[in-house]
Amino acid sequence: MSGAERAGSAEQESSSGAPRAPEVEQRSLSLVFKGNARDYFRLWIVNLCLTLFTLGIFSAWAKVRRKRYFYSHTELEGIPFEYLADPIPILKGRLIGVVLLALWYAGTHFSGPLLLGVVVVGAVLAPWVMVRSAAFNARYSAYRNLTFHFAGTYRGAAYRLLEAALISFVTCGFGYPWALANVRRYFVARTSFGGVWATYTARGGHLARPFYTMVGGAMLGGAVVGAMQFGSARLGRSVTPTLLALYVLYGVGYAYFQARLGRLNWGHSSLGPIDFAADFRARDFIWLYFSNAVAIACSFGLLVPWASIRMYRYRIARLSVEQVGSLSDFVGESRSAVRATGAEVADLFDFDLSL
Amino acid sequence: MTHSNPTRVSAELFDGQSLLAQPVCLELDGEAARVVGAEAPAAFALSSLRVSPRVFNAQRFVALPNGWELVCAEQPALARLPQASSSEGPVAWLEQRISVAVFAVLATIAGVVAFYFVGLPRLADAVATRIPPERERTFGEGTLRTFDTNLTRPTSLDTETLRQVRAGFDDIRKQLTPASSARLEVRDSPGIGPNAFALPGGVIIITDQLILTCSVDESIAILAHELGHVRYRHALRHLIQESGVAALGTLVGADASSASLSASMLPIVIAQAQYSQGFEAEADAAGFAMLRRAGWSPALFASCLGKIAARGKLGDPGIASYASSHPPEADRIARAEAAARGFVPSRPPKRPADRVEAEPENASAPVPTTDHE
Repeated sequence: MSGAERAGSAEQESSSGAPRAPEVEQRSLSLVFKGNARDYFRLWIVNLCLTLFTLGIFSAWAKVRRKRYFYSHTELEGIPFEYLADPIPILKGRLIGVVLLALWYAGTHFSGPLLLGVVVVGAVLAPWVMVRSAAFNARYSAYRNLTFHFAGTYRGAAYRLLEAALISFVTCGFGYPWALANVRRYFVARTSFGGVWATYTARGGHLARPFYTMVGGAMLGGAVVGAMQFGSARLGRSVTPTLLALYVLYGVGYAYFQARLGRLNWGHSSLGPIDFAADFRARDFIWLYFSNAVAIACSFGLLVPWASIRMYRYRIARLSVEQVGSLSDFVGESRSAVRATGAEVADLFDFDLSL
Repeated sequence: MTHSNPTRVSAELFDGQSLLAQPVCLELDGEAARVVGAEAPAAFALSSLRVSPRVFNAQRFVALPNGWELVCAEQPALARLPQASSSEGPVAWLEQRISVAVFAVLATIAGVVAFYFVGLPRLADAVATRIPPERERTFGEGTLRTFDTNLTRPTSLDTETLRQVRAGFDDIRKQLTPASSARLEVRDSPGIGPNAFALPGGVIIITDQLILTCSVDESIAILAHELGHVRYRHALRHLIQESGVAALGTLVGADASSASLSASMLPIVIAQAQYSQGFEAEADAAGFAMLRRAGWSPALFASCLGKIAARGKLGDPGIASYASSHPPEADRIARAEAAARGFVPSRPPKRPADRVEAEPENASAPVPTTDHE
């Protein structure tokens, strides 16, 4: 009840402030997340239970419900995002994924030649999987009756991934930020909404600072932990503190990099007259990741939905969307036409492998 | 004008051409639906509309046949519209009910417990019997190579000690039915410390450190335990069960991956350790039976565990001492002693008698190798 009223009032606010006045040149658009852990828990447990008792088949439906929950409760200027996907292509993608995973597992444990085969096939398929999943996700994401679109190709993605692998390999991993930026630029720049293409302006140099900070920190911390381990071996103490220290080190590094990377990615992305900025703080990420991990471990997983909502709410709260030009650039082919093309592709190649 | 009172739903209209919102009213009147207040009013058959599935109290979307879309607050009137997804309605209905949530929690826990304690062990048995022993052996050899490159060196024990260990091992191995091709590998590894492993396919590794910490005869009792693992193909079954637990963990924790660190995997680690304990007990029992049939006393096993445990308390280094990867050693020692009660050993042959009931304190003796030769 109260949720409906809240949604209703937000809608009225939006209709007065909706972007129907093209003369407005620069302003912040309101972005709010209206979900809560209590509702999401119910959705999650029903999903989990049905997935378990259908031996995983329901997981495709579960994904649709989960995406729908987050999309529907994320409102930009009072209007929520819309997730339009059908579970069947997702189920197809998951079946393919399970087969690949099983082959990979069998390969790592039982057979060298099989593993080699799986690795080769995986490398050949990787660009295709990434492109198809990005296209799927874009096509079935809509806002104000306009859909997203992804125009990447297998050849383009394969070229970028190969280039990234070579850069990383030749530089012994130190070129990773440049490789990452190239791949990301390819995927962002080939995404459009309402006929307007997105842009990504970050270069390797931008990503290098957080990356090298993380690597340097990990090496320094590793050295300290190594010394600790040496000392504890000498003194005959347990190694548990060492393992714990390594885990904390990994967690801090991971959270820091995620926060900085998210900040850079959003800050250097724009969609025509729309600019983004994400004020993610590393210490907040560290706190959220660690406290969520403790909560999940102590509740034997029952607090997973709470942790998901908490993280998502933080991200949305720290993400700002700025309008710096006229929104009349966004135009759509009519929805029915988009649906028709969607259905056409859906027959054979429509599938989704992302989580 | 109609005679009846139409149901009115206030909504925002999006024409699919621009981002502009037009505040409109959707009037539901019998089999007709009218959009009132738009620049160009329109009327449709109610059956041609599609409303998006309900997601709690979030706003919903109504697709109109001409490509327009309405966004409106969740309200009972929307139940009259045809649903866009036939399968999601029942799921949304389930999500609304607290009783369903409570039931789902209980059913999920029951399902996970049943899968863990009954389903997965049976599955592992079924899979293990279908994997040919040769395939299992190649896998074991691979693991042995990993040990040799990273963790172990060739044994530095004298040939006489090795001969005695091997003779005892063969003694026990003969008790296995069906006859096993299990093979013994002795390795020096200060890093691993006193320990022994049964790899898939019947390759057994024992460290110099274990033979030196205990006696030769006690080491043979440990080897009997490892042959118990071989008898039940524990290494292979463990691997299969571990992957089952990991798959289950992925299912439950997939959502968690973007919101936390992999500490969420902690329950999985605990769950896998639990399996190990069950296997240890099974291998212990099989080991005691083989020892007795070959004429050795299971009490050797008790005294060896006692020595290793005491050594651990003295603060020796070593991540995986035998005692720590095989936790409740007090229980196991008690069981070994129970299995030895009233048994008159005929072995070890022609060597100075070991003090079978060795006190753990004896282990602190600096050179524990005095009991052979």
